[in-house]
Amino acid sequence: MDAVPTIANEPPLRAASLAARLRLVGDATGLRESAELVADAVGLDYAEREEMIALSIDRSRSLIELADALSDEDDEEELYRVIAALWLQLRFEWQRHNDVLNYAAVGDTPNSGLAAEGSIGSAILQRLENLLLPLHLDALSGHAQGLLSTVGSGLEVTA
Amino acid sequence: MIAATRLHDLVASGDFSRRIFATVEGVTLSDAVRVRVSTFAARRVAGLAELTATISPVCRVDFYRALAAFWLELRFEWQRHNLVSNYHTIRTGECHMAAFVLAAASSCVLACIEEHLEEVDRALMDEFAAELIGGTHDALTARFQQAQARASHVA
Repeated sequence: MDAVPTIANEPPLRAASLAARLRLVGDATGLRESAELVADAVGLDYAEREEMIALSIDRSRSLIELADALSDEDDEEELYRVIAALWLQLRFEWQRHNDVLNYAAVGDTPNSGLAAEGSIGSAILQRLENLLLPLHLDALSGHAQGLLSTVGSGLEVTA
Repeated sequence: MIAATRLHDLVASGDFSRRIFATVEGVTLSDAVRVRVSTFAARRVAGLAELTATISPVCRVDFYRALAAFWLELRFEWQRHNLVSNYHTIRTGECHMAAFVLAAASSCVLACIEEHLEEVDRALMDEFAAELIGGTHDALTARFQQAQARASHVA
């Protein structure tokens, strides 16, 4: 397996403070609007819709807290690494929702709440991708997928 | 050894949620933070329940890998909450209660899941997560030393 890709903040992203740009990604109004649009598109009931809106607000709060905690100029490289890890976390979560939906489809058990959650996650992922270099995104996702295809190899042999 | 049935029982019995809340028992929480811990617990319980209900009965290898990916999600989340908590404390001298308790809750869920992962796999994933955010530990230590130096200078 390849070595873990080196992640460092590079000059093109320094035009504006990374923390300031992360705050924009975490803009609560924007995320809430995305959640409402998704909830309407997949036809969630009132309780599920409120849950999605609460989720978007929670996500927003976490992004702002991260930006606030690592807002000094000296913190930029650390912040970049944490954003990269957050992106990977959300990508795994999105993949998990997809996997569950695919397996549920086999069993004919639709789950519109999960589909909505996946769409909101996808919207945040796209926003975070604007803060990270494409070569880092490719390297990270490639390494993570390679890692996950390695785990459980003993089970494959004995399955 | 994967024990999907044990995980399913843990979730179905409500014991999983109880363990998460037991982690933060004794800490005085504001209503807002309590809601965040509840939301965190509910989403992780639902996530684990979905995996055990849909993937586990069909393919145990896919289930194991989904569980491993879920563990990595939580590992990154735990690390992020810890960082926010530590940087906030260094910056303000006060505890960031939400980040602190969410880190503790993440740690609890990690412990529940890692019982079901092979040690060798967990070590690989742990190494990956640590290397990805590895630089931050040194940076945090340097920042802490700077803050201490400033404090002693003021005193």
